[in-house]
Amino acid sequence: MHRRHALHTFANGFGLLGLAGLLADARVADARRPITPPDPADPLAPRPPMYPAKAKRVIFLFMSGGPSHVDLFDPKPKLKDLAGKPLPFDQPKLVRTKTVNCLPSPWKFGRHGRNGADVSELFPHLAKRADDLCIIRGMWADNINHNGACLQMNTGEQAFSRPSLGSWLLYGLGSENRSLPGFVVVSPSQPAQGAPLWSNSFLPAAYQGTLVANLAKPVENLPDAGATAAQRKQLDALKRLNQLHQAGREEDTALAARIASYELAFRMQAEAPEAFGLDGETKATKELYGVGDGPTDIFGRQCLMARRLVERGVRVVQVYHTQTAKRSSCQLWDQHGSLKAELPANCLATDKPIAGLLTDLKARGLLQDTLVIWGGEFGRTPTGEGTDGREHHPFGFTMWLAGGGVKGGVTHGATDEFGWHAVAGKVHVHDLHATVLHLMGIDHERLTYRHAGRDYRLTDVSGTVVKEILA
Amino acid sequence: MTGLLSLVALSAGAPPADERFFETKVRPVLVEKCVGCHGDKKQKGGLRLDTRAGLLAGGDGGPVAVAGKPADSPLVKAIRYAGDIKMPPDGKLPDADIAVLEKWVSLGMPWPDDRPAAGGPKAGTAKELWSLKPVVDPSLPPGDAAHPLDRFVHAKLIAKGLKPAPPADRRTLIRRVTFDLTGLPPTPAEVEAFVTDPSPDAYPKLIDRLLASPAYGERWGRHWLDLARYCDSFDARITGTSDMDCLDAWRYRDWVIKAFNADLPYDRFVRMQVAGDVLPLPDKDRPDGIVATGFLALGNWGGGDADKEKLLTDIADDQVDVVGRSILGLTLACARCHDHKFDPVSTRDYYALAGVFFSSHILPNVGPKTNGPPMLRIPLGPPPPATAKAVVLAKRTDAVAGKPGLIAWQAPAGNPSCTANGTGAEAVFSTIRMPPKTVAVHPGPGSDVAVVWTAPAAGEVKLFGTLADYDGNCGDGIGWELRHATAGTLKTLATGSVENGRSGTFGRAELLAVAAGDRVEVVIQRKAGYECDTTGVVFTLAGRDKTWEFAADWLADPPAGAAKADPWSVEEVVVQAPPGPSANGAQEGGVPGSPHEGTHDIKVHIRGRYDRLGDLVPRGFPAAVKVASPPGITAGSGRKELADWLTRPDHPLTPRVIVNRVWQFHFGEGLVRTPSNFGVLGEPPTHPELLDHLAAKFVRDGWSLKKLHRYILLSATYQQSAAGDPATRAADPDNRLWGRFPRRRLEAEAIRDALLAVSGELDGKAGGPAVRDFASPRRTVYLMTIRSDRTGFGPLFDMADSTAPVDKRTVSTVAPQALFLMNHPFVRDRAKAFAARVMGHAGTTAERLDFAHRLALGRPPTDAERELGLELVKDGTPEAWRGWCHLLFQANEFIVLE
Repeated sequence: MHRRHALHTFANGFGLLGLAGLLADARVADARRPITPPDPADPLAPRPPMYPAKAKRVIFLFMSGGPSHVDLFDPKPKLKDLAGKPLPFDQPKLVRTKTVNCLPSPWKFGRHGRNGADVSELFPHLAKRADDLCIIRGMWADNINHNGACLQMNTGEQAFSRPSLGSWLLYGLGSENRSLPGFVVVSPSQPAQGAPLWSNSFLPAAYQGTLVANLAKPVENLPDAGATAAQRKQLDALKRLNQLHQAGREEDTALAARIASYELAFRMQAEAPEAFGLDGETKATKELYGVGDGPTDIFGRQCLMARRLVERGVRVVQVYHTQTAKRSSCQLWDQHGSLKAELPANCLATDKPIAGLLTDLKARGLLQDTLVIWGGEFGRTPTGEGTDGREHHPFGFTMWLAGGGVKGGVTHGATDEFGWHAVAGKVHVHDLHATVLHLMGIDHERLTYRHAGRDYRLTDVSGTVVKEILA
Repeated sequence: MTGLLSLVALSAGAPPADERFFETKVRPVLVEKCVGCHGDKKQKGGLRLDTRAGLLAGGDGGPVAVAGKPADSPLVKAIRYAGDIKMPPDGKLPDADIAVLEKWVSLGMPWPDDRPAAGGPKAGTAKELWSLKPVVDPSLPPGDAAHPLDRFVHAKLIAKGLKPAPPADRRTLIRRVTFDLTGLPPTPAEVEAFVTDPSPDAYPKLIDRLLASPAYGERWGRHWLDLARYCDSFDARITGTSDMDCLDAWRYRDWVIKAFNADLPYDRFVRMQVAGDVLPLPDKDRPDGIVATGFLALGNWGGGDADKEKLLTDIADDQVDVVGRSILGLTLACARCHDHKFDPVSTRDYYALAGVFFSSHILPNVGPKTNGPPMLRIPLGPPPPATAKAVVLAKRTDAVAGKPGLIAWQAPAGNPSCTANGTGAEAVFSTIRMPPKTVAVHPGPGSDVAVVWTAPAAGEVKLFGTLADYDGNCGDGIGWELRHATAGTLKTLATGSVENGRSGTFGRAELLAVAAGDRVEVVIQRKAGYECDTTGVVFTLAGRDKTWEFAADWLADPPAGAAKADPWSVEEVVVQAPPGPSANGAQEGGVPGSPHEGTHDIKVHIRGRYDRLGDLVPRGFPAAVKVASPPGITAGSGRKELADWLTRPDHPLTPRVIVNRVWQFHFGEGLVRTPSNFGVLGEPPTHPELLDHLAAKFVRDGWSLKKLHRYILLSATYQQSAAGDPATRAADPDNRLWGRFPRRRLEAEAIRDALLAVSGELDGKAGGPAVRDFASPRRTVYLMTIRSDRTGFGPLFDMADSTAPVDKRTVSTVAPQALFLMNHPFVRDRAKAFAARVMGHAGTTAERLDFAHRLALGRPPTDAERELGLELVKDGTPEAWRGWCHLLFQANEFIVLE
């Protein structure tokens, strides 16, 4: 039965989809409900959360490579006192290369916003948005290499294939726009090990992230000339051919779905370029994101595309910083050396676009129910790798959240006086995931999927919602 | 709660007085105060107190109660609030309850039955689980069907008052069976030959022809490759360029295809993949034995990890998982952290099996902490003779890492290289520390590097020096060779090695006579990895009147361009002959140089953690899966015995699992619809007797897959039409009674191959390294699959994701597939070639339309279709024909099998 119903909505196109989204919201009951299982025939149909959600969509800004917390959000004056001297305690057993001597940050910090949040001088634009940020300084993770750490930050697991955060959200909630992919990954260069980071894994294929690697041609397989009259004529003939084939096979909904998919494809040809393209944006908006300006152009485009997509109901957009005007890298923020040259370049490339994104979302009334996440797979050692570099550091680092349901202008948790271990308000990756699901109206312990003989969760067997940062 | 004695085993069935005591006093306390956190929903600390089994198993820290000894029982200590752990955490129990539990422990914890204390599912046992019972060939159900298979199917249909579908027409049948067995459409000539063949064995002959076609292995081998989580490359960043990638994977793919085509008996097929390197094989098959173990090597275990113990644990886990799911149909990996909650598989079973894999290796070493490990490349024959050629390092860089005085000379690819620290201070850069006034050389990814002295005149010299690894943070040390090249001969004077981060001396006691122009070379050789081998060279040649010192001479006058300063040079040493064929696969013994080197049993990893070890478990096989006199592991890793155990004729799982898979690939669904989970949570078979009938026959037939195909395909059940009887369809919408042939979409490979076949461009060449060019006319099974890349055609049409075994592909219908078929140049180009083929066909427009239909759909057009075609191609232009041909490619019928 539900198949037919779904096809009905499918065939009626977008008008109804918006309505379905509204209905889904209206159906949120007072009591917590289990997640509505998706309809296999219409897997992206929007579904109500378990309980009223503060956030409806997510933008995850991923600084691939591991941004240095002690240079960006977590100032440590103690490192100045100990500059060039060894840390006064034993480092954990799990290290890659041994870094010994303390390396103070070469940059100054200012205190910004009403609560005086610490933000490095490398982020002058973002500093002005300090009152939107919920800075989490007690992050910690388990893996010290990019692949394992990126996988954990995205899927909760360090080695094996598991569904990504975006896939779980899409599986739980569907998407409000079924003519666009529900989970879009914008990354001009492959971050870490690539597709496993946005994999649906054992969840149905409909929940995989759709990669946009080529910003100039974000949607694959569009005709060069756009949809033409000749093509319309072709499709009409195809429909006739398929209808002839359908005679005697009317009961097969898959055949009908495939006919409908051609109609949707034809509309996508017209609508997707508009959704992904930036042509319709004003000069002022483009400027706000730094689009068209050398160093900020690429990431500005990525951020502006993210806003256009969430605005159209895409559930999750993940924006990887993997390319600047000068460099393309799977780990752009991986400063083992050349910290003084590369970190400012990365900050310059992302600062204005990110601040622009927050400003723009707020101006459009979207920030209140859009959760923005910033961070990488880990931080970097407070000790120097050589004199101008830092090693990987999962033991204590910084991420920030903004918008949908989190407190703004807040700094939560802390690392020790050296910036080494998270010591207060510790937030493990699993806790972050539990919190993101919570903000989206999902109990992380009850969003499960049975596979290979057991129920799997994003947070495996752990995860605690960080209540202190909820608005 | 650690380090306690194991529990005394309790006899089941407690005396009535104890039962009453348990039911009235103990159970209420457990239910009210304990099972909320230690029950079926939550198992805090890994502990369950809702069953006796849970209590006996204890928690993460080990047993919690010692029968008869309350004082030694952590549980009692905890409820007394006497130690670090205080339970229940929200308030101490009343003294009376504490006394009850203490008394219960001193009685030996009598528990009258093992019913959960508060409901919940009951763990499956070997006795109950259908799939672990022996295969028993059942007697045939009564009926008039000639084929025994149909008797089983019809019996169930008839019992429900339903009937099977009528036979499919011949055109439909040949298209069905040709796609099914070869993944390609039948040609118009093949269709006509079959349709007009009046002989009663036309259909059996057709099956035999298709099974004999090499295309059969390309189709069915791919089904197995899905289960083997096969990929051609792990990661697009290193595809084809690093030994961290599975550079030899394609040989495994070719072996699988060859095995299917040769109808290698399935038991041997399994044995080869688990232990082909150690099986007693004839010499000619030994390379195949090694290649087949690629099954164990191509796993997805997360590559680069500094935590090498975790890496090794993850690799063994991947191997337990792939053997468990793909061959046994059991989700053994669940037992990595805790006893399987539903199936009779314990953590002991898991680590008994994992020990076999910990005692094998697929890596030459664990790799540097800063990177992933290299993959083992096992030579498949003797290496070709090596000849050496010197190439000068030509690219000079001043001020490496911004340090004036630190100069590098590099080969065009970056390495090999030479670096000179002319400063008076230690140079620290990247992961390297170079002392002041030193010169270091570094080998390259595909070549060694040599410091060469060319004799300016004839004489005698004494040779000595030291080599030091300046990069101890990573890498695996170096080997060296001191040699003398004189007019056409190359003589080795001495060899040795230097461990990572260490130094060593070399030299020669006696004088060496040299002629003018002779070369004395110190060759620095890579080991498994070339990375992090920055090697400081002090090399002195003392002659009668003059002494040459490499580092000092070099620093005194660094060469301006290429790395050459009379009489010194630093040269790349290239092995010219290509390396011999090699395979990614498994070998005996744990990873060399790791804590698991050699063969040994493994301790239980508590909660799956290698840093919390429990009991040592002898290597062996899951106890609940019974075969007659299972093999014991006496020598080696145990893979040989595992291979033997898996393929015993009386194994309850291996034959059932594979015949179910074969059924599934023919019918879209298996008799068991959870094909890799024959456990409690899997679905039971729709027709258990039929499954056993097929399994028993399969083993009797020598585990021949081709005989099994033939048997199934000759049944009336396979030859039914897809339309089916309306009443049957209504009563059985999911086709669990097999009363019709299930219509289904073609797989990605079959779609792309059909485009090439119909356009007349398909290149039938078999095997070889994976093809990167999507526009290639090769069959899709030979196109490169990269684990890190889920973009493009394959994933769009639901090709298997190689991060885990895939037993059943999803079938999605999404608009981007339509966009691909509408607009992708590959499809448009095939349509153009198809149109050219049609236009080249002699005849009228109607005859050409007929030809196009026969090519694409295996039948002539209906009148209505012909009319539509005539309307669209009426102007007869190539563009109009291309449009029509493109349309046929997009038609539902083109992509749907029925």
